[in-house]
Amino acid sequence: MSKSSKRSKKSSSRDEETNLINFSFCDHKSSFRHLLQGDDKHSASIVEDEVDFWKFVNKYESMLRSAGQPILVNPLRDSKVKEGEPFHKRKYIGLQLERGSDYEQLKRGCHNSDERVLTKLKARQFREIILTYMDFKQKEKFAKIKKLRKSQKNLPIAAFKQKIQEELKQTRVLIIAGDTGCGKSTQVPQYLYEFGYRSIACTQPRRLACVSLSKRVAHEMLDDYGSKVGFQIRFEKNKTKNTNILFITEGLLLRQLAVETNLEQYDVLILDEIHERNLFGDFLLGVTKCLLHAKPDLKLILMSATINVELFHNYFRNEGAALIEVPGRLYPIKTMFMPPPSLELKGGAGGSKSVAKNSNRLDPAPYIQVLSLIDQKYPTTERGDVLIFVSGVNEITTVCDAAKEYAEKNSHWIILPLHSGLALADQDKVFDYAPDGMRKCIVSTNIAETSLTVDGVRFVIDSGKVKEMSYDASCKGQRLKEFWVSKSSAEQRKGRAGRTGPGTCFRLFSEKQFASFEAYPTPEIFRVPLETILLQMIAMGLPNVRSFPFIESPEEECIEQAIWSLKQHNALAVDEKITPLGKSLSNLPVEITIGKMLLMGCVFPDVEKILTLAATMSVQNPFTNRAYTDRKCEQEREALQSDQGDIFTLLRAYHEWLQMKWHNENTRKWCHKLGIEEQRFYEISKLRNQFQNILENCNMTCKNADGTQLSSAERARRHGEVRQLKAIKRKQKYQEPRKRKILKHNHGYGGDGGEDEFDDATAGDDIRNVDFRLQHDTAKLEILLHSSKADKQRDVLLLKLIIVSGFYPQIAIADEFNYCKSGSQQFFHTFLKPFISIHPNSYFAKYFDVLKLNDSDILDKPSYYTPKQVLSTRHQVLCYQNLLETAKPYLMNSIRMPAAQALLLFSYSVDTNASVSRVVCDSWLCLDFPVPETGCELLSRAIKLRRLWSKLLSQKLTDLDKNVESQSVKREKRDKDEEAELWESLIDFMSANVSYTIKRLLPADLKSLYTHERLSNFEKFDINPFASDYEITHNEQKGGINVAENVVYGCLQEVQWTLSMEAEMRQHTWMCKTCEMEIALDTVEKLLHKRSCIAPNISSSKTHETSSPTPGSSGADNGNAYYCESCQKNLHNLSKIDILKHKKYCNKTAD
Amino acid sequence: MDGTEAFKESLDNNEDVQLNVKNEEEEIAVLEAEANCLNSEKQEAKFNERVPNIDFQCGICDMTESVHYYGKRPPFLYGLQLLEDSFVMRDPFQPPPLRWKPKSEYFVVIGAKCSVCQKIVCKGTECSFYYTCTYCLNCAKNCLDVAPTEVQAKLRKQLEQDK
Repeated sequence: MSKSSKRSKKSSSRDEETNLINFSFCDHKSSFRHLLQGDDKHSASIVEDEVDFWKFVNKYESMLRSAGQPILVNPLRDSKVKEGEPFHKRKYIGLQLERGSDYEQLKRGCHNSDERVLTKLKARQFREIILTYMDFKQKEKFAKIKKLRKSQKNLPIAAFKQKIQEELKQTRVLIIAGDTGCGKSTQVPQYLYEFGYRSIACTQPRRLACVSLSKRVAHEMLDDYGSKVGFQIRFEKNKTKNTNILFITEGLLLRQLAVETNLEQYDVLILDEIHERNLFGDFLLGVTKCLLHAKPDLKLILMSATINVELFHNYFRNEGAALIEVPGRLYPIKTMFMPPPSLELKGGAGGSKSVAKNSNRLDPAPYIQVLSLIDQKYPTTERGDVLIFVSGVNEITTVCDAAKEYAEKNSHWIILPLHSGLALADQDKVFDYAPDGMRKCIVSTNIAETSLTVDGVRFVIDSGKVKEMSYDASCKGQRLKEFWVSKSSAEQRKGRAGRTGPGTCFRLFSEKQFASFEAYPTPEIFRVPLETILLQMIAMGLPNVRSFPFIESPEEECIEQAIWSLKQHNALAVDEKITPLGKSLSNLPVEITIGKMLLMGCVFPDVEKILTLAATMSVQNPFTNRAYTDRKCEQEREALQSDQGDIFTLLRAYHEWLQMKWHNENTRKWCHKLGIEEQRFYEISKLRNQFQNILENCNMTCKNADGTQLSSAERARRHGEVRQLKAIKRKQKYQEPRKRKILKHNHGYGGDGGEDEFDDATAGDDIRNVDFRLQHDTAKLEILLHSSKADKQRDVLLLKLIIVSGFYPQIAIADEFNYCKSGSQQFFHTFLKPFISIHPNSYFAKYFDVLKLNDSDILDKPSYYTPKQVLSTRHQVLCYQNLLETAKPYLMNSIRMPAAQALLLFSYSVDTNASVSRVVCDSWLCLDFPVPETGCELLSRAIKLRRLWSKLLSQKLTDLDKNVESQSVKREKRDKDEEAELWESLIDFMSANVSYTIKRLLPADLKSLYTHERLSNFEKFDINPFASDYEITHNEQKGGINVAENVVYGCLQEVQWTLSMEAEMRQHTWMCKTCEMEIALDTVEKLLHKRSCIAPNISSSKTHETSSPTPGSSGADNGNAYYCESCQKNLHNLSKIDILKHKKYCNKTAD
Repeated sequence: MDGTEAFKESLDNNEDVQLNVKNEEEEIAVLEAEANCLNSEKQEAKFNERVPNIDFQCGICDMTESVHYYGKRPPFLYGLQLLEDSFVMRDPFQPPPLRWKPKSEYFVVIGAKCSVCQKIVCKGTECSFYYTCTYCLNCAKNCLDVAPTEVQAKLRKQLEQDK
């Protein structure tokens, strides 16, 4: 370049002619650059990308040079552009620069007007180059649009556009059945827009599909930068007033339905992928069927793969549904049935729903045989990847290990695992290209069957197996078992081989077996608990959920069981009307249990903590499989481990992560080190915000005042930060989606090509980090940080209480022989299912000792207590999040709780004997309190706390119902006091030191458990000693009397030891500490006495053990006197609670 | 133009913050403009101007688009003008410009009328030919036998290619 420039300087002054041999515009950019500017006040650039322009000039010049035309032609006068003769290249271009061609105009704006370089001729020639460039760019842009239109036209669905339009004139329900690749999901919404519909909603089962479809459709509508097309998913919304096409998840559309009845906002609903038979999808079908009657203008379009189309057609037959079937675009696929010999022997043994045999461990040999068959038959010059379907993660590992070994000898294979438990970055690898001469071999679960589409697959190896989650209503547990797939799934899998060219499908089962497969997979509605969906239906105002027009109705029994469970949770009243609690629960996009936690926690003083806890429990476990298999990960995790339950370990990890965010450290690397999928932590943060918004919107919590005032310096810093973050975000948004890369050999399974990825990506590059920082300023981050902290015993205890309040009755008790057994032999029992293990990844599985009683915890029993159970103050029960059966039934995500306290607080029914020394919870767990009065006392406290809690909650909920906007300040203050009192007393209660035994009752025990008789001394109960404002009634069923919402007193048969205890008690007289009277009374008589004796002395309404001196005895020490302002009295020796109680009373009387 | 693209990408990656902040202002302004457009009529008009409302359909290939402008001087074109009346679209591949700030190459010419038969044709090589003005391919075949030989050669090449 320097050579030519030297020469050009010499020559250009001599002659006018522009010879590209010795001249290049690229060497004189500064002299000509101004011509790229508009000739007006803006002087803005008229080319989009100047660098690109100069590259073009360079290429253009060298093209002319090599074509032997180095001397630039004379430029054409602007006035001659319309004349046909003589020929001039510029006449091919329909553009003209606004800047004129006078020398004056040509020089304007030039800062380096070297007269020898910027000659009039050269300036005008340069102008023509600009025009050539502009014309080139125009053609490029036009071609881009045209290409887009062509590919749209080539889609199979395009041939049916006319037909769709015609059918829509005739009918309100249109079913479009077409296989993957026919273009229905992207094109139909656009067609509808063209037909004139302006508010189109299209549902998708998956969040990711909503986002990617909205991007794609916006692009095809040439509206990348507009808002015609939007999406709405759980964590994100991208929609404006001008949005005409909205992609929305099924769940969200249902929620919209619940809020805005009848969906006035949409004129067409498209339900896509209905063949998947999701819970929400099925539910939507039923709802829209009803909706068609309520909204006569609505059009409904159902889209499905060509799977069981008749089912849908029949379902909407009465609505006059029309059906359009679109052929897919698949290349021919050869099917080879290759049952492994071992399987063939047992051939035909598997009806598709019977559990496949030989489930102990998968033999990878047949898979490797097929790989080597491919190697023999197809030269590596023929491209084509392999997709292997197996049933689960363990199977993937087995096959990957064997394939890896094979790949060591045959180095043209790259092995890639694919399943949902994988880090997202690793999942993305399957989309990368294998280098020339190599094949990738993807070993996948059924995630690649429909959810993920990997192009370039030519060979499919199908195990024919799938692991499917099912729900067992009988034990309220989920079960993950291996089955044969359905015929339609097997066909789907096969179809994956023919997307980009002809392919082959190797089926590792026989044709006979295939014939015995079920036709279709089991719809989700038969495989999941129905509580959430039923509650939502009831909340939407469906008059009778039992007669809901499900496309395929779940079993009546399952519906009844779900309704029963909703009643237990107090979401439905006895008459099956929805309760305020139920209504609020239906607003929360989470499982009932977590929703209940959130609501129960609304009267908790530190709601922030509950929000974080609930969010943490609602996302998929952030710890990946690697976290439990890799020694290094385990070591790293050790410091975070909590002996309270895995959820607290997770909470600590999240806290640690937030702390790193606080210090701006690289969290990605840290997450990798611990085997954590960082995405989940971002989700926790988002979900938490969402919870907060929901609770704020329905007034369940107060809005946080907008944080502390920032100083101007802080504001400025934050402002700058926000600008930077937004810039990064926009840059990412407008960037092309992740480009497919070429895989390197060591990128495959087991390779360590990934480590450095965490180093070079600086924190700012990570869009999720940017999002996070945008959402969380310092103040917010601080709240988050604080809310995830639970290192104080007290915090842990309260959080555990909240968890149980949501999860009850998910309680398990240790087997009585655990104390003498090893780790793998530790069993637990739930009410519905005995002998369950703790999941091996759990802390409790490894350190099971924390669930046992120490020798020192075991107390001596009184002589009259003859049963063999162990007496202790430290019995524990487990409260679990769910029950999952894989190889064995496992308790997942458990916490440990003090047994008696938790049970008395949360059991649905608590039954006692006359002396309350024996308490049976939910007719299942029996607590014996052999020390006189202790049981009665604990129960009294439990009843009081429980009633206070539910009173506070129902106050909040009914206020909500009545839409009481602002409560009076006084009332709010009183509530706050009561709340504080509640939580203080709860902590006291949970740590109460009471000795008891615990035993699981068996069905045989229940026969003789209850008296079924009315209480003999009923007349004594002129006042309810447990809850004075609860009216005592007989319990006709069990016997005894109802003394509180969940408590039946005196219905249990006395047993040997309780009678002995009573007898012993009667030998001693009892002195009332209040009135100093000595009397012989039994337990309840004492209780009754205490009530009537103490009632007038409000200042000390103590019912529990703290031995405070008689109030009013002035001689008592007054070291801790409390002066009450409203009654102007000095009060002595009051505990905090007493003071609060006093205040409450005082306020009440002052009203 | 693969090289160009790769180069552009590398430029994007090295884009310094300053450049971003410049765009930032732009985007904030756009967003604000959008947010304010609800009630004011003037703003409404401004928004409508961004909505294509001229239907274009190619008489040969049926390509159908909504375009923003028909004529020689689209208001959104900067530094350039068209030599004949054309159907012009705002560039869908660039973020929208600010009102007071011109934006380069923010347009795509979609088509024009055939200067002979007045049929509307798109810019595609299988539909039209441009030399001093637009011809539909039919008219081009008929009329251009009097044109300079270079033009005839180019037309022949184009016709052949499209076969």
